[in-house]
Amino acid sequence: MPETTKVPVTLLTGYLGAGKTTLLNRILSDNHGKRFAVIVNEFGEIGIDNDLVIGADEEIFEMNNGCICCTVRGDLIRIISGLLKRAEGFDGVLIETTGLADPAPVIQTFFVDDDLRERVALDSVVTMVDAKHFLEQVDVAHEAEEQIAFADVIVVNKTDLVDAETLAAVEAKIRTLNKFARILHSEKASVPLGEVLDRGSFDLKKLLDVEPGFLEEDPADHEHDDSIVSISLSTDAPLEPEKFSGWMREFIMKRGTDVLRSKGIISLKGQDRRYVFQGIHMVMDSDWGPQWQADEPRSSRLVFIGRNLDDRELQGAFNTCIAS
Amino acid sequence: MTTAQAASFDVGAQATSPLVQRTEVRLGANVTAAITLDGRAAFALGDGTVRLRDIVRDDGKVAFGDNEIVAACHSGAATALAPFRDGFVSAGQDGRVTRYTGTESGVVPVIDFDGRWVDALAVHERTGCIAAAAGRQVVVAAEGGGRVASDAFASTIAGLAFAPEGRRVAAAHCDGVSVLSAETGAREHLLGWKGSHIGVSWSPDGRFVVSATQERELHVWDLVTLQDLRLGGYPHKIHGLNWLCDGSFLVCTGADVITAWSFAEAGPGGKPPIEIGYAYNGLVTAVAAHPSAPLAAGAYSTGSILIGELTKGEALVARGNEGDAVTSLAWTRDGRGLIAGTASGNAVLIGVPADLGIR
Repeated sequence: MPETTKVPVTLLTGYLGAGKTTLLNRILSDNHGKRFAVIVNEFGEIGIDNDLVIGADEEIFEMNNGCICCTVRGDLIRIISGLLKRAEGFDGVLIETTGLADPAPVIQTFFVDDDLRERVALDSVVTMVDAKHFLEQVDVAHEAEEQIAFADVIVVNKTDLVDAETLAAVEAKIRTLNKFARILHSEKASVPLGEVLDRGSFDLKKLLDVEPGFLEEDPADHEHDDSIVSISLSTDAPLEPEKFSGWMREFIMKRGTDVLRSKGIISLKGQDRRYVFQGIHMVMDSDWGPQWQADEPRSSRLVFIGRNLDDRELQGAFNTCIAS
Repeated sequence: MTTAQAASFDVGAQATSPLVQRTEVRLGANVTAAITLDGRAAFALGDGTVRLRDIVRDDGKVAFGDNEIVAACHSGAATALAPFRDGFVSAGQDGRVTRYTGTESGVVPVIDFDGRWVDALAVHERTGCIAAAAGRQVVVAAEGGGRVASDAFASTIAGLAFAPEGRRVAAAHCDGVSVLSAETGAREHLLGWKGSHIGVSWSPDGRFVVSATQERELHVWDLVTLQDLRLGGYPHKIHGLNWLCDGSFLVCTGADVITAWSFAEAGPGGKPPIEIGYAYNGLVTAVAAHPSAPLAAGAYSTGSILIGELTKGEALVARGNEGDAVTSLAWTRDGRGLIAGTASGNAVLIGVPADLGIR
């Protein structure tokens, strides 16, 4: 089958009152000439300025594939498959989740459903943060924490309502949860659309580098045991293919519930091409990336965002995969 | 699939069979469903209309009539289509189920779900019942104008099928299939199996209920022995289930071959399916079992259409790899023609000789 262009899907998450609807309306009213289909929570507030708005009734089910944390959103499969049946077509899909939604089932839906995989591609998870209330929310609400952990782009909104010190504290807190997302600042959700749309965050072909992380965090400095942390592992020595795949398989089988997101660019012994992968819980997607250039260091980088992760233990296990 | 029984061949390299004759016309939009009526073909489209064309037979050749009737049934896409008496019943994303009688009255409303997309539709021509579902509710409309509604289900209804006698309706949803009374809408029993069920079909003898699941399997309930079993091995979700008229085979989409499970005697347990027509790179996207002979047509994501002989396990090419995915397929009532609709909006008509002679 010829590779047809897949319709990009952007997932907009964020805790209650963060400004998701404002961003959504900014995207829709911008003069880009694109036609978007918008999927919103059926029982949420209205006021979205678009002729193709579909209300979704969050319907989560567990895949019967022996993978305990693989839940998907049946309503999204149905709605997007239905939209694709329409004659008029559209250039992108925007999904606004409820403030209390877990992003994982939404993301996993795009990786496990056959029909959606063929026709659409998840582009980015964009998380809105209310600069004024984030620090209180993130301490009490599990959802606020997870929405940060799953994000590719984090828009810190309402920066006009806080002083520089609070803003710095908000960013520092975000970085303890997710070292790798791109952070943008905005007042009234005003961000350049190129920073949130068509990012290709889940496109393995674009996974050329995994950012080493912003703050180097002290692993002993955990506030409580189940808090979310970002961990990056690296080595400049090539890895033994069997050892690495065996370790990853076992780790994800055992700890997939705790690992929210993972990404990696790996140099395998005897391979001139990068091995690239990414995952959400136990749902993994991998491919061969571009060739290593003669003059570049063949360093392997791997990142995990999740709970109960100990970076010394993980780096130790990762080091055992180094080819002798 | 455990055993490959069919000889494989490359459709791309294989010439279209000289036994068949083909003609195509452009419709206005992508085809979502295709059915045949007496002497006519009907295509439901993504623009909400249903297009009707006569099937004309002249000098042994078939062709679409020049005149196209455009029935403006829905706004948004037309999602389902079923033959009903002298016309058809259709469902759409405008929340409506409509009936076309072919008379002056044109398109008449049958059920209105108040704007909620109608994804599941089933009709029973003998009793005149029409069942449809939007979201978590099933409504059955009786011929005399009576309407019964089910209680709200815990999840969306993804498929509906009448029992052959017309008094019960099977509804596929999360964690199983419910059997409802067509007269009252009440749930009579639940055929439970964990996971999301996306389609359902009832065998012509009423003995088996078969669902398709999100996990690329079929789930079969034998209502006589009260056993159930899984039929798996598919690389894709199964969207099309079609019974040979005598109920001996269930023909399915979802693999790179047409798969046909034998339901003769005790059902398909322990028997591999017949596999017909391996077409490189393509997935079977639509199937149609012949109205009288042991033949099954299968259409592919690559645009090819094959006609397979179930007892011999062989097939002939009726349309090549034209890169235009086929979304729907149906035999004419006399079994001598096959219609198909494509994703790019073509209506296909294939003429088939009385004796196909596939060897």
